[in-house]
Amino acid sequence: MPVGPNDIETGRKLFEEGGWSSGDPYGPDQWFSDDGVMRDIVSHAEALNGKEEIRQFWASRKVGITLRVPVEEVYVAEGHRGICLLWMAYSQVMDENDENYGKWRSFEGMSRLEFNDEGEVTLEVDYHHGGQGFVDSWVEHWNRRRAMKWEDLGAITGGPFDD
Amino acid sequence: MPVGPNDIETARKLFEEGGWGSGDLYGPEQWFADDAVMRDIVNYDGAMRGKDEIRAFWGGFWRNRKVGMAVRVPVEEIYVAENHRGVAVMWMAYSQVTDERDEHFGKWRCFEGMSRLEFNDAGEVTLEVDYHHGVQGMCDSWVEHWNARRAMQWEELGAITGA
Repeated sequence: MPVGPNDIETGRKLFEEGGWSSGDPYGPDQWFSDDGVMRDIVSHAEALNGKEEIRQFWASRKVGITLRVPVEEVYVAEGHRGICLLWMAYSQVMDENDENYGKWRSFEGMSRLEFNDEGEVTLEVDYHHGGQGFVDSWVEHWNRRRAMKWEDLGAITGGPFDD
Repeated sequence: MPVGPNDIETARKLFEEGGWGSGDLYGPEQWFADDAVMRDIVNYDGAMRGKDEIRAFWGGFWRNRKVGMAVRVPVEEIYVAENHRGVAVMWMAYSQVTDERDEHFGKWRCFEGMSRLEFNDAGEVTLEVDYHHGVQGMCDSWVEHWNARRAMQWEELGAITGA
């Protein structure tokens, strides 16, 4: 079955509203199949198997509370029911002893998602290289990226702007 | 203009035959626009601008690491952008250790990743951005490793790293 509009909508929701950006560690569950598999090549390169394992790992790292992952673009597979997402990620520094307390780590990356016949996510793999810098406000940083031309955006990293 | 079959063919060639996997430092530029931009989020913190700068960087990079151009980047899947002329390429990368003093001499570093490509109206690549996290392991034969991956079911393949 090819990718449909609902799959693209699911991909966006998984990363944005209700999902990884929701502040709720149970949020992403609603789009994963029970036997969903997740890998993150930086934080957990080996497979997390099933909703429980996925939730437990990310909740233990407080991800979902201080994370925002707005999507910049969606790409669709030609040969199977899968998509890729290009995203920015922002995770807030919550340790009061950290010199960057309150700031947001920012980084760019891509993820691939696979879907089953019910439209549930059976696989998520995240490709990135971790934090590329710190910004004071993720909203301000994201809005500046959104205001740029697509061509200019491709030439800059996910770190803070130079000025 | 939407992505066409020629763009997908260009993407495959850029990474495989004639391109990054060719052994020829001048190979990839036959598909780049003169003002093309390239970024690699692990190996280059910024943008390489133009064919000369791209070639000069990778020439120096490979010389310094003594890997020559013993690189292979076979493509596993290609995804097509919804809103513009761009693709996402999922690949495996293999770079051979050619330093005789290295304990892994003759073996191949292996890792997984994704890249995004943009095209201009002439079908030339105007942007390449590589998303990965560097080396995930070593293998004796890149061909054997690649063939073992190709023999796996798509679902199983998603659950394993590039090691």
